[in-house]
Amino acid sequence: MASALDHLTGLRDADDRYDMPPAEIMPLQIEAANERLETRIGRIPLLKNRAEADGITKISKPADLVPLLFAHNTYKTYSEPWLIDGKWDRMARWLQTVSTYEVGDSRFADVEGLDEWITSLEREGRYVACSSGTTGKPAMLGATEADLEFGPKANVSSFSWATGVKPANDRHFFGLGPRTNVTRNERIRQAMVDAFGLEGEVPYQLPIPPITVGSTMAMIMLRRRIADGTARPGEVAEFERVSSERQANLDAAQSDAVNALVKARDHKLLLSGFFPSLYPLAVGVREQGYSGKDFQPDTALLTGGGLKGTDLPPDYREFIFDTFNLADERVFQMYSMQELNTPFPRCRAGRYHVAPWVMMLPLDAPGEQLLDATEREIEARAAFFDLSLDGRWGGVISGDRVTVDFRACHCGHQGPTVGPEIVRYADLEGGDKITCAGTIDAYVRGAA
Amino acid sequence: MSSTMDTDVRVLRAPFFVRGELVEGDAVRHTSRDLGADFTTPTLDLDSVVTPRSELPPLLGVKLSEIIEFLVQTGDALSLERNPYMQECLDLLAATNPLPRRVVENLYRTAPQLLTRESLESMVTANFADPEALDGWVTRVDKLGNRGHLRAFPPRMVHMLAGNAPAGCIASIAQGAVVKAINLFKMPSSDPFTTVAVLRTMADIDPSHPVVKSMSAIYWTGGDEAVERTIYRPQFFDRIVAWGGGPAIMNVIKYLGPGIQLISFDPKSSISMVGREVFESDETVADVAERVAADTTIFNQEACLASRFLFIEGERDDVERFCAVLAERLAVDRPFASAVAPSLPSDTRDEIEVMAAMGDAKVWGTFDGRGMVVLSEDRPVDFHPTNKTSNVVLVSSLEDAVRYVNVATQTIGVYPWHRKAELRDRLASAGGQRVCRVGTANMHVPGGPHDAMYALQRFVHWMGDDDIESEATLVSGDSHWTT
Repeated sequence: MASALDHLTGLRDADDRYDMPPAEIMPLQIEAANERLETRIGRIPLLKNRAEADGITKISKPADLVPLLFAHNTYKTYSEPWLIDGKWDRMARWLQTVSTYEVGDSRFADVEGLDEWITSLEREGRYVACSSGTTGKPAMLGATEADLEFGPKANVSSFSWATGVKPANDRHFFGLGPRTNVTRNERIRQAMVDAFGLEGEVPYQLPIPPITVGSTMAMIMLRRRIADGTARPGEVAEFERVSSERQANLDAAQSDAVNALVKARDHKLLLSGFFPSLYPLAVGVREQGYSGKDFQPDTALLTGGGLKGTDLPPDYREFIFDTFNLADERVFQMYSMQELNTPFPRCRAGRYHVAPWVMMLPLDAPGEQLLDATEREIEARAAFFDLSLDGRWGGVISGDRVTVDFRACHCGHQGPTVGPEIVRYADLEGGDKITCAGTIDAYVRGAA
Repeated sequence: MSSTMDTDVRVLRAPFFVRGELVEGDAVRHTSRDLGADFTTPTLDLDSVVTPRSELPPLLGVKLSEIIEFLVQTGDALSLERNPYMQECLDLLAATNPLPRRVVENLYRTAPQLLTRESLESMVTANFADPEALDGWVTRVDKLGNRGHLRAFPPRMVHMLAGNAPAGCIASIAQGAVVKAINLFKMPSSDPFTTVAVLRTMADIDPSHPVVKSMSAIYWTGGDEAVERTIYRPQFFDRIVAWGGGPAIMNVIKYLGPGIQLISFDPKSSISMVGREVFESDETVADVAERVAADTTIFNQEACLASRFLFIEGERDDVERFCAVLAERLAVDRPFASAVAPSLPSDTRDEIEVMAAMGDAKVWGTFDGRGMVVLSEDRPVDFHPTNKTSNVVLVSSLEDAVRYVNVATQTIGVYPWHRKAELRDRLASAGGQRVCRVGTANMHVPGGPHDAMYALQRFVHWMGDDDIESEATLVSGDSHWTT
C-alpha cells in the first residue's frame, strides 16, 4: 500500500484534488507530515535543533507543527560577507544547515562568483534558486531534481484546472516579463511551453538578456558597500548608468513585444507575465490602434504575484483584459511563494485554493499560535506545510497577512482557500512608525 | 486599519490640546500601531492648529528667564505622586505602548529633571553664543561702523514625537518654549496621551501663560495625506523636527521645499568598545560586564543609545568568560529595563539558531526575552540585535573596530576611559557622534550636542537688520550678494 505521502502527492493531477473536505484529508496529512519529519530530522540540522529544543518527536495534530515551521527569513540567514568574500565552502555548509543538502566531498576552491557556485551545485543535483529582490538580502532556496519534477507539473495542472485550457499544444506562447536564469523558473516555463505551446515553435520571449543570479547579487553587494562607505563615487555612478541602460533596454524590448503581439493577434495565445510587465504592453498595443476586438476570444494568461511597489492606475486589470480580449475564466492567477513548491490557483470566485498535499496553517500575527478557520473566515499570518517538498523542510511561515476559510468556497469546491486580499506585514508597518533607533540601511539612497 | 477582533476592547480617549485649550471628543477612532489598541480623538480642526503669520508669536515679548521659571514650575508639578494627569497616562500607555509600565513610570519620574534651571540654562548657553538674541535685538558693529542687528526670532514648528520614548515630549516642549516657538506636537500612535498630560499640567499652573498659548498637541495617522499635504507648507510652518527615522520621515520628506526645513534626529545604533585591560581581574570583568549590560538594556534596547554590538580585545577563552557574565547581567531588572523583555522576533531567532548550528556563533542566554549574548566569528552579525541582545565581536584591537562605525553610530561606550581620547578622532571621522565611559550611555553632561548637532540654533529664524553707513561693505561681504 502506498504511504500517506505518496497518496497525497499522487493527487497532483487528480480531477477532485480541489474538492476534498479538510477534516477528511487531515489525518492523511498528519501521517505524511510524520513521514517527512522522520526522514528529514536527521538531514536538516536546523530542524533537528528545533525538534530537540521543543521535545517534539511526533506530530499528532496540526498545532504540533507550529514550533517546527521555519520563518521565510531562514533562507536568508547566510552571512552576506561570505558572498562578497567568495566563501563558497561556508555557503555550502550553510545550505546544509537549512536544507537536505550534504556537502560531502564537495570543494568549491576554484569557484569564482555566485553563478559558478550555483552551477557547480547543480552538477551535484542541487538547484539553488535565488530571489530577485534588489533591495534586501536575497533568499537562497535549495531544491532537488524531485522538486523540479513536481513543481512545474503542478503548475501545468493547476493552470488547466483554473482556466479549463487543455494541454493541447495549440497556442503561441508569449513570455512577456524579464527572464531569469534560475533553473527552477526555467523548468516551470519549459513545462508550460511543452504543455500548451505550439509544437516545433520557438516561443516568444521579451528580448532582454536574462537576469542572472550573479548580476542580482552584484547589485546587492554594491548596496552593501555603499552602506559601509567603501564604494567610491565612480562605482556609484557606474551603477546608476547600468540601471538607466537597463531601463532603456527594457523600453526597446517592450516595443518589440508589442509588435509581436499585434502580429500574432489572429492566433490562439498564451501570455505569461506579471501585471506590471503587461500594462505597458497593453498601452503600446492600444497606441497602435488595436484592442480586444482584434485578439482572439480564447486568449489565456498566466500571471501571479502582486504589483511589487509599482504604480499602476486603479483600472490596470480591466485595461489589460480589454486590450487582449482576456476573459476572467482564462486567466490563471496564482498565489504562492518561493519557499513552497506548489501554486494555489485562483478560482472563479476569486479565491486561491490550497492543494491537499499542502497543509494550510493559519497563525496569529506573531506566527506563534494556530488559529481555527473551520467555522468562519479569519485574518491570519499565512503558514504552510508543503508535503511535496523534497530538498527542504516543507513547513514555512510567510510574511503575508491573508484571509483564510476552511469552509467550502462559493465556486463550489472544497478545501481551504485564501482570499484575494493579500498584504505583506512589512508593508503594513508604513506610515506611522517613528523611532530613534535604526541602522545605516536607512541611509542608503539610489541602489534600493 | 480594520480588525476582526474589535469586540470587547476598551476604547481609550485621547483629547487634543490646542493653543492652551483642552479639546475633547471621540469622533475619530484610531488603532495604535504597536499593540493594536483602539483610541478615539476629537475631529481635527486644521484651522485651529495653524497660527496665521499675521499674528505675532505669543512668547515674543516674554523674557527667557520668565519662560525658564515657568518650565521649572512645570517640572515640579509633573511629580508623579501629585499629578493625576500623569498617573492616568500610566494606565493609558499600558494599552498602547510596548514599554513595561514600570519603565514608563521611571521615565515619568526622571524626565522632569530636564526642567531644572541648571539644565535649561545650559541648553541655552550651549546653543546660542549670545542668548540675548532670544530676548531681543542684539547689535554688532563692523570696522566701518556699520551696525548689524540680530534676533533669534521664534519659529513655527511641528515636532514629530518618537513612539519609543514616552517622556521625550518633555524635552521637546522645553526646546519649543526656550526658542519661543509656536509649537505643534504630532503625537505617535503608541503614545497619544503624555504630551497632552504635560500641557494640561502647565495649563493648571497658569492657563493664560504665553508658553501654554503657544503649544498644541494633536494626533493624526502618520502619512495621512489629507492632513500632511495641507499643513506641511512654508506658509504655515518653518521647521519640522523629527525625533527618529522610519516611514514617518519618508512621508515628511515629500513635503520639504524652499522655506520649510526638516531637522531630523536620524535613526541610530550604539555600540560598546572594551579593551584587553578588562581582564586584569575578575572584579573588572564583573564591573565592565555590568556596565555593558546597563548600556545594552536601556528601554529594553528600543532606544538609539542602547548598545547592540560589543567589540572586545582579548583571548577567546577570556572573552567567552566575559560573555557568560554579560548574559547573566542582561537578565537583571533595572529602572529602564525589564528582567524579561518581549521575546526575540522569530527571524532573529532563526538567524541565531542557524549560526549556532553551523558553529559560527556561540550563544549565552535564552530566546525568551531575558537577554542573549551572541559571540560571532570575526565580524558583526548581519541582523540588528534587539530585545536585550548583545553581539560580541572579538577584535585584535579597538582601532580595528572603527571600521564598523558609521554615520548611523550614535553613542560609543569605551573601557578603559583613557582609550576614549585615543579613539575619538577616528570615531568622529567614521561618522560616530558621541563617546562616553561604558555604562553611562544614558547619562549626559548638560549642554551637550545631540546627534552631533546643536539643534536649537537651527530651530530659530535668524532675522537680520542691517544699518549700512559705508557702502564699501556691500562688495566685501558674502559672495551670495553678487551672484
